Amino acid sequence: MLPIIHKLRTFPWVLSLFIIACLAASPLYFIVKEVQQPPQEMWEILAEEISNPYNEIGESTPSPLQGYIKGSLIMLAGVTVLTLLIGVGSAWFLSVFKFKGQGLLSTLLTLPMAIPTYVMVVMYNELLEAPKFSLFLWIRESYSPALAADFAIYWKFTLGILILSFSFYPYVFLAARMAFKRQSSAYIECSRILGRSLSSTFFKISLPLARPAIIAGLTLALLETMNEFGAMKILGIETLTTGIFSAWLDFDELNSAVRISAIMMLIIFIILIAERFMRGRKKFQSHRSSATEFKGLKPGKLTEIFIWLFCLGVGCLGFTLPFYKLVQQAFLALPHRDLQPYLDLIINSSWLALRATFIIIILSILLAYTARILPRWWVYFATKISLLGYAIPGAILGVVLLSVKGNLHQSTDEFAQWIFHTTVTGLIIAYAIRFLTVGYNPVEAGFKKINPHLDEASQSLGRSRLSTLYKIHLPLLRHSLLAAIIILFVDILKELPLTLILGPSNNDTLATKTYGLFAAEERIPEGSIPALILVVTSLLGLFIITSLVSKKST
Amino acid sequence: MRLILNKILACLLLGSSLQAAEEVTIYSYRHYEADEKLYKQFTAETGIKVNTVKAKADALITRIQKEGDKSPADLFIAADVGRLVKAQEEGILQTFSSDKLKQQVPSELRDTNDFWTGITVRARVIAYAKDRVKAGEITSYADLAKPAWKGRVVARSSSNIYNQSLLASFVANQGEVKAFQWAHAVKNNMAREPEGSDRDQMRAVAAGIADACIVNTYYVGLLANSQEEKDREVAKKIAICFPDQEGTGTHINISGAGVCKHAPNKENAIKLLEFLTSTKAQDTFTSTNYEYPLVRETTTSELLKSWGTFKSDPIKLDEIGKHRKAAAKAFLKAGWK
Repeated sequence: MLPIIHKLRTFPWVLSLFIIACLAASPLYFIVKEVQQPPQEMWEILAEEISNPYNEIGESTPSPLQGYIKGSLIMLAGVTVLTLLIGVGSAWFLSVFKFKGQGLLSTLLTLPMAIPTYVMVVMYNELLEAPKFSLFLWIRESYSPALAADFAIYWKFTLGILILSFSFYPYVFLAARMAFKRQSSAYIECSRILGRSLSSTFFKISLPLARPAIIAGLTLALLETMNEFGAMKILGIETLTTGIFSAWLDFDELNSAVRISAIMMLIIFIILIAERFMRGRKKFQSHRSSATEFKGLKPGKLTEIFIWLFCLGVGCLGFTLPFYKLVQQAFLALPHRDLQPYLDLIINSSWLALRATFIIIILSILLAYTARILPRWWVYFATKISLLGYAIPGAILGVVLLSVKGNLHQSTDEFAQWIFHTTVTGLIIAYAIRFLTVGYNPVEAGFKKINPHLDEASQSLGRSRLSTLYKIHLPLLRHSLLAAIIILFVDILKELPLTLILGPSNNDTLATKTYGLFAAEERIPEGSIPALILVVTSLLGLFIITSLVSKKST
Repeated sequence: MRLILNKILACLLLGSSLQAAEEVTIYSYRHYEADEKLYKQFTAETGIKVNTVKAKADALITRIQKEGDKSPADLFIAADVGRLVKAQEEGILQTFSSDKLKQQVPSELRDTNDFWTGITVRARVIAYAKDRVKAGEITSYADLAKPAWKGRVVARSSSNIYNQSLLASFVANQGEVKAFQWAHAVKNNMAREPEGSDRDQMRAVAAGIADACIVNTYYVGLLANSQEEKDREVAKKIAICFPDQEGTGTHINISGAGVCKHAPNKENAIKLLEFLTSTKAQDTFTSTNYEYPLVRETTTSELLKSWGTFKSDPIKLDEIGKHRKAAAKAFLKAGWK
C-alpha cells in the first residue's frame, strides 16, 4: 500500500522529466537515424586523404575531416588551459583575500560575458590588424614567405584561443567564485591553523572541494567552444562546426553534415563522461547549509598589486579593450543613423530572452529536484538525456526542430499552427532544449550543496515535496539561481543560429541585426550600433539581477 | 460590454487572417538595409504590408520545404544564383509571369523557365595594389594562377558562395578538370591561408600582404564610402580590373527572387518584384549598396560609372547554378580552405 502512495506522489515529477527527456532526445534520434543512411557523394571526399585527384599533382594531404577534428581539438585544448588558469585563478584571489575594490574587480571579471564572441573577434581584428600586417611583412622580408604564411596560421589559432578563452572563462570564474564563497570558512581556517601555507590550502583543500563546480563551468566553456561558428569563420579556422555548415550549405549534403555532427557529439560525450569522472564519486556537502563565509585574509602589498594587475589585465583584454573599440566604431556611424528602430529591437530581444530564461529556470529546477527526490539510475539517465541539447550543434538542432515545427505546421489544428507560426513559441522551445544545461548545472550544483537531512526534516514535519522545494530549497538556492539567470539571459540575447533558422517573421533581434551588418554587408561601424546596444542591454541585465538579489540577501 | 469583448477576441483570433489580404511575406537571405528601406517605400505606395524572415538561404529553403503547403512564404530571395537554382530543384518555387518584369529584367538575368528573376547584379572582379601592379599586368582570372603570382594572392574561404559561383562558371565554361587546376594553382599562389571577408582581402592587399585578390564590386564601393577613414584609405590604394575582357567576360552573379510554390499572396509577391526591379528601386540599390542595376548602363552612381563599362560572361545563370556542387568539390580537392 505504502509504495503505491509513494509512487503516486512522485508521479508528476517523473512524468514531466520524461516529457522533457523525449523532447530533448528527438534531435538525437534524428541524428542516429540519419547516420544509418548510406553516405552521400561528398562524404568520401571529406573523409579520405586527398591524393592525386586527377593524376597530375602527386601530393597527398590529410582529409578535410582530419583538419576539422584537429582544429576543434586545438581550440578545446587551448581553451581548457586558459579558462582554468584565468577563471579559477581570479576566483581564488577574490575569495581568499579581502581588500578594497574587490567588488569592483569581481564585477569587471564577469563583464566579458556581455560581449558576443563574434563581436569580440571583429573588434580584435580591427584592433590588431596593423600589428599583424607589420609582423607578417617583417617575417616575410627577414625570413621567407613560407614562414610568413605559417605565421598567419599560428596567429589565427592563438588569437582564436585567446578570444574564446576571454569569452568563456566567466563560466569557470562564476562557478569557482560561487563554490569558493560557499565553502565553509572552517575548512580554510583549520588548514591554516594546522600549518598549511595558503597555496597548499588552495591545492589540497579548496580546489578539490570546488572541483565539481569548476568542472561544470569548464564543460560549458568547452561545449561553447565546440559550437562556435561565427568567430571561427571570421578567423578562418576550420573546426567540426564550420565543417557541418560547409557540408550542409556548400555541398547540399545534410547527411554528411549530420555525420560530422555525430563525430562532434562523440567528442562531446567524451568530455561529458570525463566530467563525471573528474567530479568523482565523492559527495561534497557543507556540514551546515548556512556555513559562515570565509572572511578573507589581508593580502601583502606585493600580492595585492599582483592581484590587481592580474584581474585588471584579464578584465581589460576580455572587456575594456573590445568594448572601447566597439564604442568607437559605433560612434563613427551614429550621427548618420535614425535611432528609433533600435528601441523595438531592444524590447523584442530582451522580452524574448526573459521569457525563455524563465521557462528554462523552471525546467532546470524541475529536473534537478526530481533527481534529488528520486535518486534512481533511470531518473539520472533521463536527466542526462534532457541535457543533451547543449551538445547538439546549433544548426543541426535547428534543422531537426524545423522538421518538428513543419509537422506541426502541417497539422490541421489551427491552434497549433497559430502558436507555432505567428508566435515565438517554437523558438523558445528550441532555446529551452539548447540552453537547459546552462540553467541546470548551477541549479544542480546548488542542490548538491544542500544537506539531504534538511529534506528529511522538512518531510517529517509534514511538508509536501512541492512546499519543501518552495520554502526550503529555493531560498537556499538563491545564489545558484542568480548565476543561472544571468548566464541564460545573456546567452539567449546573443544566440544566433536558432534565432535565424526558427524565428517567426519580423523577428529581428539585436543579434540578427548585428549579424546582418557584420557578415552580409561588412559594414562594421553600422553593425557596431546594434552590437553595442546588445552589449549594454546584457550589462544592464547583469547589473539589475545582481542588485536585486544582493538587496534581498541583506 | 460583451460586444466589445467579442470584438477584441475576434481581433485577437483573426488578426492574422484579416491582414492576410494585404500583405506579402518574404524569406530573404539579403540582410541589407537598402532592402528594408525599399520595403517601407513599397508599403507606403501600395498599402501592402511586408513581413520578413531573414536567415541563410539554405535554412530558408529547408524551412519552406518543411512548412509545406501551409508555408506563409510568398517570395524567396537569395543573394546568388546557385541558391535560386537549388530552390527550384527542391521544388519550392512556382513559375510566374509578368510583362512588366520581362520589360525591366534582361532575359539573361531571368530563369529560362520563369522560376526566378534577378534583382541586382554583382560582378566578381580582381582588385590589385595600384603601386605594385601596373595596369594591364593582370587581365584575367587565369593570370592569378600563373607562377608569376606566387605568394602574391590572397583569397576568401572557398565556402564563400561568391567564390563557388565563380568556380562554377569555370566548370560550365571549361570543364571540371580546368576548374580544379585553376583552383589548385591559385591556392598555391596564396600568400596566406584563406581568412576573412572580401573587405579583409582588400585590406591585406593595401597593406602589402599580397598584390591582388578577388572581390565583389560593391564591397569596393562600401569600402570607399565607409565611415572609417582607414577603409577609405584602403579603397584609394587599390584599383579594380574587370577580368577576361578579351575572353569569356567577367563573371557576374545576381541577387534574385522566386515566388514560392504555396504562396498565399502570389499577386502581391509579383507586385513587389515589379517594384524592386523598377528604375526607382534599382537606383536605391545602386546608391546605398553599390550593386549594379539589372541594366548596368542605367547606373546613376558616380563610383560605378568611374569603373567604366565591361563585358560580362554571357553564360545563362542557371547553368552556373547547376554546377555549384562540382565547384565545391573542386575547391575541396584543391585544398583551398
